[in-house]
Amino acid sequence: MESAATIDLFSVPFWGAVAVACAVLIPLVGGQVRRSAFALINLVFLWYYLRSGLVAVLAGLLLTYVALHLVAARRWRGLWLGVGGAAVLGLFVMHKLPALSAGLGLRQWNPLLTTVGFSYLALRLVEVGRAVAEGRHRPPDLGSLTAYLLPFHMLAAGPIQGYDDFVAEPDTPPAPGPAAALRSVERIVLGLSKKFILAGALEAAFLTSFRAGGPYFLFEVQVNYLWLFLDFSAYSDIAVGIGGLIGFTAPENFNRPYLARSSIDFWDRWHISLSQFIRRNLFIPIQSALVRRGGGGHPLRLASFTFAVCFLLCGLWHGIGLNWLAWGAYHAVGLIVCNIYRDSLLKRLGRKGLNRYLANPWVRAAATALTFEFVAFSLVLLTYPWSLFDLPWPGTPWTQSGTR
Amino acid sequence: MLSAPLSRPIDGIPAWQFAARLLLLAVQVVAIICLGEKGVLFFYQAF
Repeated sequence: MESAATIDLFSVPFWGAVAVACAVLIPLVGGQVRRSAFALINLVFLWYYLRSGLVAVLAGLLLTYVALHLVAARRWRGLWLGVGGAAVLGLFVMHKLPALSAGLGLRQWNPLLTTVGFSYLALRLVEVGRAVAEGRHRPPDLGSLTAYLLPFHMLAAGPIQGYDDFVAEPDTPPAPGPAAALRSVERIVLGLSKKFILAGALEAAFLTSFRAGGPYFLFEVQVNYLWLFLDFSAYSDIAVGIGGLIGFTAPENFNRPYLARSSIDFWDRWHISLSQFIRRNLFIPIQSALVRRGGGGHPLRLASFTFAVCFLLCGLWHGIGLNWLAWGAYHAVGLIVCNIYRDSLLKRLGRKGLNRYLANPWVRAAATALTFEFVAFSLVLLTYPWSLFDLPWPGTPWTQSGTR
Repeated sequence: MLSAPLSRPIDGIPAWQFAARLLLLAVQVVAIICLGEKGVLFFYQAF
């Protein structure tokens, strides 16, 4: 398999794909035709980066298509779901642990998994698999499946569109008028400015991966959070803008997370598509299962346990390593403490008293500042040069950061 | 007072505002190309 190149947002192929998508998809009418055309554009885009590696992607799409139809027809449903789940998990672990792939002689798969953004693709596979298994939707045709799983404008860094939302999109969205087109282009250019000017300038001027130490460390903690917000939200801005032009929506992913007043509020504002995925596919099912088994007593304990499981898994989704596990645990603790604090305030003050307390501007300011620092320091776990978190795999010491 | 053509709406946005936003976009794009190192690479690749 040829070595695949990483998708670059500031490249001729990417913006060429945007131009082709606008030219082809805007005038097209009909859901099936549009989704098939979008699927073809996505595949041609991937072919540019993968070349012969596209064969593996096509084989994967075909297998997924067949499996979904067999699941829907209830033919050996459990077997297909089990095999499918194991395959996705196996590929995900390979994607996150390249040293392990190398050890198993499967190194050539890693560039392909990175190019298709397998971290996000895995979540979309879970979404469509659950939707079909639960009978919420019929299994998609091959064009729709490809359009949902491999949207070129969301491969690099999400967002993660829910399958229910994808199905609910209009067959023929109205072509963007001048105002809507202007807003979409503004959003794209905002994203590019955030990434290549603002985030780039902050990184070049101030960030040292916490090697500077001393009082500068505290300053760098703040700037590091700001840099991550600018860099990460930029990808979402670009995806949302492109989605607005071509009629394949990318969901909003950030809502001024620096203004969050609690951990719970933070996760409603940061990487929103991921927290909604966690809520739909982990939190609610786990919570429901626990209530069915043990009754609804001790809701705080149930919620605390569920937060812990969800955010440990969230940490591992970002990267399989002690640093990410620590980050997940840190945020789980934040959510649990926040939940317990809110519950105790409600018991002490009552609903009206709680609303008065929350409306107090000083309380709001303190809560926002505390949450900002809480989140900023969580990022230190990821970026600080912890030699403790280097896990030695056979033959190659390994570190992991970032998510693709 | 703006003349009538400049106030005429383009899809609900006054023409002068539409033009100003387009101009701002152009300035941003130039800034991205000049200030972002990627911009230099992009044009190197394209041309």
